[in-house]
Amino acid sequence: MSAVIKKDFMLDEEAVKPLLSLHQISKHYGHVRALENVDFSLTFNEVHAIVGDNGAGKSTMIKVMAGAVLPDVGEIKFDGQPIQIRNPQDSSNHGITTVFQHLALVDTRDVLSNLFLGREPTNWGWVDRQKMRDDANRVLGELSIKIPSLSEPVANLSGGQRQAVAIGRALLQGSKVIIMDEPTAALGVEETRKVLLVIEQLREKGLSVIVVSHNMHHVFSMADRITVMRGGRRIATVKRRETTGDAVVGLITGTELIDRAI
Amino acid sequence: MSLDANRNNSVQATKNNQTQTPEASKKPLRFFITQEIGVGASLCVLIGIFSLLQPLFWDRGNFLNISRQAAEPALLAMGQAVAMLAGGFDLSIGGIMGLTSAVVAYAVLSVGVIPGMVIGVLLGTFIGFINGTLIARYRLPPFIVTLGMLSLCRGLAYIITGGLPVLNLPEEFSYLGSTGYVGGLPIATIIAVVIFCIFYTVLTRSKFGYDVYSIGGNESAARLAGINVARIRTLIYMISGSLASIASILLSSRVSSGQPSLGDGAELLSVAAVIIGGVRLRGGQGSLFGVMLGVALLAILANGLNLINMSSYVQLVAVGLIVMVASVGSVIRGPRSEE
Repeated sequence: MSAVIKKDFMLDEEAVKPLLSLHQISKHYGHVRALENVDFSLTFNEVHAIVGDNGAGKSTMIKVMAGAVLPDVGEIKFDGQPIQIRNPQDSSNHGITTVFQHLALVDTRDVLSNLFLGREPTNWGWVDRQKMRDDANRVLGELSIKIPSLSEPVANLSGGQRQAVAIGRALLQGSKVIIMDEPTAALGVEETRKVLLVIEQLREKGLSVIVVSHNMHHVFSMADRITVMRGGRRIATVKRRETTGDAVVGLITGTELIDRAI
Repeated sequence: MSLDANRNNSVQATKNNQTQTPEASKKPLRFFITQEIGVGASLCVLIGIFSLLQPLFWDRGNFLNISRQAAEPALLAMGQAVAMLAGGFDLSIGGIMGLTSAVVAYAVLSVGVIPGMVIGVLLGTFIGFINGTLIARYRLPPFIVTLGMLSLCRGLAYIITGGLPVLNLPEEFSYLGSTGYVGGLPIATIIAVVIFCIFYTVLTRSKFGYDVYSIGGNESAARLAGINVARIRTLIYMISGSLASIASILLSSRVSSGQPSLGDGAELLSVAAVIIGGVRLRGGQGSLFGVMLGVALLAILANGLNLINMSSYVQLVAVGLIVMVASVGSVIRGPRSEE
């Protein structure tokens, strides 16, 4: 196992410099090892998929980066500098935005308010709606998912449109890293296609995206690199172009030899 | 809650991916019309009925009277609306009114009219601050905190007055609530209108207003987005408390005395106006304009029933029925109840 980890870390030498990285992160819940000495690196301008079976540690891992879970030990670095992520606010302050499956949107409010939630541009405490509208149109216009109207309550939007609002918010905040938890779950075929397209657009804009997904097909259609988790450990990180779906599934289930997958 | 929303969305998404968008955009508009127009129409019907039954009703003097009688309920309903929009509610306003009335009466007697009234508003704001702190910082349920505060304030009011009205207040004190007119309008009405304009603008245009709606709509999302939920929560109870004390001063001024029992049942009437006005029961949705329509409806109902010699018991029954009907509307109207 140790030989393998050395081998796939060569990928990091290739990559210029990690934007966001985890070093020897562990998180235990009683006897359950949710994460065990996990190293992970996200480079600038890449889409990085995290895959694994239920309970493999994918969710805990992104929660650590999102500030929703505090690791027991380990270090997080952003742009080479060690950072502390104690709560969602810390994470957001470092330009990391997490789009959770149950999105943090206010259903009763319109799209515009949700795009700027908690960060409305103001003059002396008064909200500058015109500036909000201009910025919103600029950012949403670049995404392939169209929102019917900025004054539409979010409750009336489809799953994909809601994701677009959440992503739009991240873009408006100037986030550099967007973490998406199962973005294509519970979406129809057409909406899924559009969400995948939006992820592609984020990469084109120079952002880095971490995607947790169960769907191998989606993972292979968008990811640059794939990190496989099993039993709270990082089993491997592979380049999409250098592997196959069968090999990755093998890694997830533990039937594939790591050397063959890479 | 969000689970529900997600399920609905996924069902919709798979059911009618293409056609869903235009339908969805029509929906809120339709409900907006039903709500505000619905209350407005009921108002017109009520006015028509009372005018037919009692010629005295359709009279300039009577309408001025209604506008003055509605001033205090309007202030109370605005405070309650702010609290409910942020997902809380304030049952203590009746107690705050009683205590303020008693304290203001003694203060007016000892330090003068204007300082006395200032003390009253500060008192109401301070009680609201305690409510807010207990609810926001110590996470106590608003129901328990404000109900306890209602009893506490009412009790204090009776203790300091010995249960009797405080009389012999100076004549100038009656100016605000009863004898004062500006441009033919009662001063109490003007105060209520000015405060309405202020809070309407604050709720729709200010950062504070945005935060109130966001917290009421989805508290955890608001917190995740970095909104200081505890601070806003505390502020809304301070607003509710200060408006209750202003209402109390106007009423005390109208009756030229300090009344420890003032504001008995005010909490129900204010909640009634807010619900009739179309504010979502769990908060996050509704307008202050609708709430004012609710206040007008209740004021005209009370005035009309009086004029056609219906007993006040009938009014209680009518208010109860209207609240129940209106809250049915509020539940149906909710954004998650897709048909």
